[in-house]
Amino acid sequence: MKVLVIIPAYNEALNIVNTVETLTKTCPWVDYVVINDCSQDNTAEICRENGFNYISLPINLGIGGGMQTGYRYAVSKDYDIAIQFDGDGQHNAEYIKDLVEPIEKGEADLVIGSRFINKEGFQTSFMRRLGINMLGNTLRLCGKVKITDATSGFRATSREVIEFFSHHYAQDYPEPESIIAARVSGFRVKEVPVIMNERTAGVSSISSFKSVYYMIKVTLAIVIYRLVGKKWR
Amino acid sequence: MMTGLFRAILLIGILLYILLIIYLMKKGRMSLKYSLVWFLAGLVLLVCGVFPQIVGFFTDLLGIYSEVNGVFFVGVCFILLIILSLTSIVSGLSERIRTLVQTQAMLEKRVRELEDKISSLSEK
Repeated sequence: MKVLVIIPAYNEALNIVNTVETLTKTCPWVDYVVINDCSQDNTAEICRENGFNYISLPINLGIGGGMQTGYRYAVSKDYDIAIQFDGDGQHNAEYIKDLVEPIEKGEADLVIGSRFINKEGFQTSFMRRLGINMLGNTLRLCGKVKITDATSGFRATSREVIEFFSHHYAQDYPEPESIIAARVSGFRVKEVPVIMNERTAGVSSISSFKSVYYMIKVTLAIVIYRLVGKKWR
Repeated sequence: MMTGLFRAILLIGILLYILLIIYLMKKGRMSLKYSLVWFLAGLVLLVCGVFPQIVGFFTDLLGIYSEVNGVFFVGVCFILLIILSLTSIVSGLSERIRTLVQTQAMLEKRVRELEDKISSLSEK
């Protein structure tokens, strides 16, 4: 099976080389593409100098639009499985095989790497865990699926979901929203345990100041999608 | 009751407003598709100004104290409608821009790779 790792990168000049090199060393059997979301720093130049496979967006589209670019690329290059993998060193490439396995076995269409199944590694702050828990409850009510780490950006998608996401991908806070979108369209979502690292450099896209607004907005988005979202195909 | 003065102000205002829309359309700064809802708003308010008895009929029906309030109410309804249509237009536009940007970025990658291939071939 052809596997593509999509690495969204916004101002990741400090991390990107390390991320890509660790990835290609740990998983030589996967292809990757870096999506440079119009970074202000020299992420694009670093990708070019190192000969990375990358796409450079001329306008900042945000994480949703960036990821969707990766999915469109995966469709155009005919990949069977796509993996989302953060460019900031939070995700461990050694777990990619665990994410791919349920899809190869045909057990799931969307596989999410969760920090909170085995509760190992970086566990983030208490308040965030509380928020992620609430999102998990919302998803359980609206999507009939058990999700412990709704905001995890470490995930694998089957061919059908790649195609679905290339057409419709939630834009603002896409991680939790895309789970409900997949559920409404009847895809099977599964979680597998992973260990994540703390960010090595740079800042997270979600600041604590915005997190309350984030929670309200994402919860509403999930409920609204449940009510008005249409099944794809 | 609408006073004669208020009717005059309303009529002049709406006339100017419709002229402004026509001017913008002539200059090509407003497309026909989006001008329709603005025209409709102007037309309804024009009818309100010319035939206040129509307004009187509806304000009585809806339990609005004065006809002027009825006119304001209609105006506010139209503003809401127009803002809603603008939000819908903006959403459509941002969707289109996003698709365009993604396609451009993917093409840029292909061009870049082709150029690299050509320059490495010509070096040999």
